[in-house]
Amino acid sequence: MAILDLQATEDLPCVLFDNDKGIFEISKRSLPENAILFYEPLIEYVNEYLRSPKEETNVVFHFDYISTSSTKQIMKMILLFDQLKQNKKVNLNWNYDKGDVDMLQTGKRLEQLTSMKFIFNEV
Amino acid sequence: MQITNSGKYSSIAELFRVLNHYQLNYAYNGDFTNDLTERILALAETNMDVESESLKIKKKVYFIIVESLQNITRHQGSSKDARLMDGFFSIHKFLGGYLVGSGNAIENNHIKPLSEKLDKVNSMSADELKDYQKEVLSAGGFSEKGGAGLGLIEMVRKSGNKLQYDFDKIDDKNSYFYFQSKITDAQPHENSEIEKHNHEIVKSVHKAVTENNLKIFFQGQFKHENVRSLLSMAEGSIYLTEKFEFKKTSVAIMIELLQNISYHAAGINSSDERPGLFMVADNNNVCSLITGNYIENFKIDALIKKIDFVNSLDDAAIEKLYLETIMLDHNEVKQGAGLGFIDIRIKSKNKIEVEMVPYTDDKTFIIIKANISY
Repeated sequence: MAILDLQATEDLPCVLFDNDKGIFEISKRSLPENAILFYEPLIEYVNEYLRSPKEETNVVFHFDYISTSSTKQIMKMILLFDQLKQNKKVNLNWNYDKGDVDMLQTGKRLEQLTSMKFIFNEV
Repeated sequence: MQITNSGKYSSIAELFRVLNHYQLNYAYNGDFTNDLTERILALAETNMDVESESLKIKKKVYFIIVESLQNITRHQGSSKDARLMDGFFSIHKFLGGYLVGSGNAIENNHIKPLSEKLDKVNSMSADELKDYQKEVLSAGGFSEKGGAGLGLIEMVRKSGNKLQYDFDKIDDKNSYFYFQSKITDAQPHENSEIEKHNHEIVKSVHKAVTENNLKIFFQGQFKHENVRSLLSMAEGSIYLTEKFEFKKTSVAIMIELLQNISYHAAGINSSDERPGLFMVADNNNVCSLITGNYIENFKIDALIKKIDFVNSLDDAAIEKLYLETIMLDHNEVKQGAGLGFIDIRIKSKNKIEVEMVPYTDDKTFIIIKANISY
């Protein structure tokens, strides 16, 4: 599968998914008009990756703002990585801006719904 | 309808009714930066696109907005006194045109020369204005403070209407200068409230806005592209940018409130309309983010029940509800599925307030208010 590389816009995130390297990064703002439609191909990409995953997978989320409808879709994606973690190494980084307490707490909440330990980075 | 400007209104609905009377579409009260004025322009432009305004009107209104905003930023004071410091800007949309208003403090000794300049351009016929413009241009124009009245001449010519103004004394040194310019299409609509109220519109709205501590007012369509511009404009206000944590929380809540309207609001004339209201107010270190939209009456009970329930929960219970709700059917067509109000309640750390105004037999105007203490 080709690299999935989306430039950020005023309300859509920057996406870099590279199944060859096992890297999955989403950053900036996620405020799509329709979160389900926007995340569908991303989740499909991850599903595809799970068929022949790398030994180590690196996931990085770093949101400025995320709408609750996007949070739902991100959770759906995280649960896929949570499955993968049963037999491969997965590092899930939840990055947030210095002082962005809301974003840290959102990450902490999502972490509770998985069997993973998120790596929290204040950057 | 009898309208009195009686200071602070007891409800958002009452304040909205008054501002609506002046057909207010947009207002901003506070500090104006170049960055903010660009964002206001972008919002006005998107809004006119969404409203499918004719190119002719759009260009004229855009020009008048640019000039009005420049007048505010150019003359904006630098004082600790908000009455001297804050600029004011408003757009009113009425049947047959637009009215663009501005306000800023000026020193009393500037009142006379400014009035003379305004009276002069107002007294001229179209031909006289044309000649005067040539004269000013050939004379090199830019005598005092970059203006020389060229902007004023262009405003009269482009708008096709006289410039209206007023002064309100603040103290011995300063006055507040109110300025408004009307852009009308070919057919004047005599019944318009704007025509009836005339020159004191901006002054009345400014009073209502300041006495009720409003920072931002927007009324219009909440289509996705409009919500994007509205959010960007709100983010550009100094009121938010000065305090990082407060900004993050406020913008996150705004996102939920605004998306809520664009997803769920009922239309009035057609089902793909999303008419709504957005306001930001600040009372003694409590910032209120307020939205309003129409809703079908049969949906009210479920909505009120949801908000009451979210309001009734303590911290632990609301966290639990957040986790349960996020795991609920991810592919539900209804986007948020209730997570929005839970998120607002958690982030604002205050109860969500609701006001309802009956509209028709089957629709109600519902006002939602989220309060953030800082």
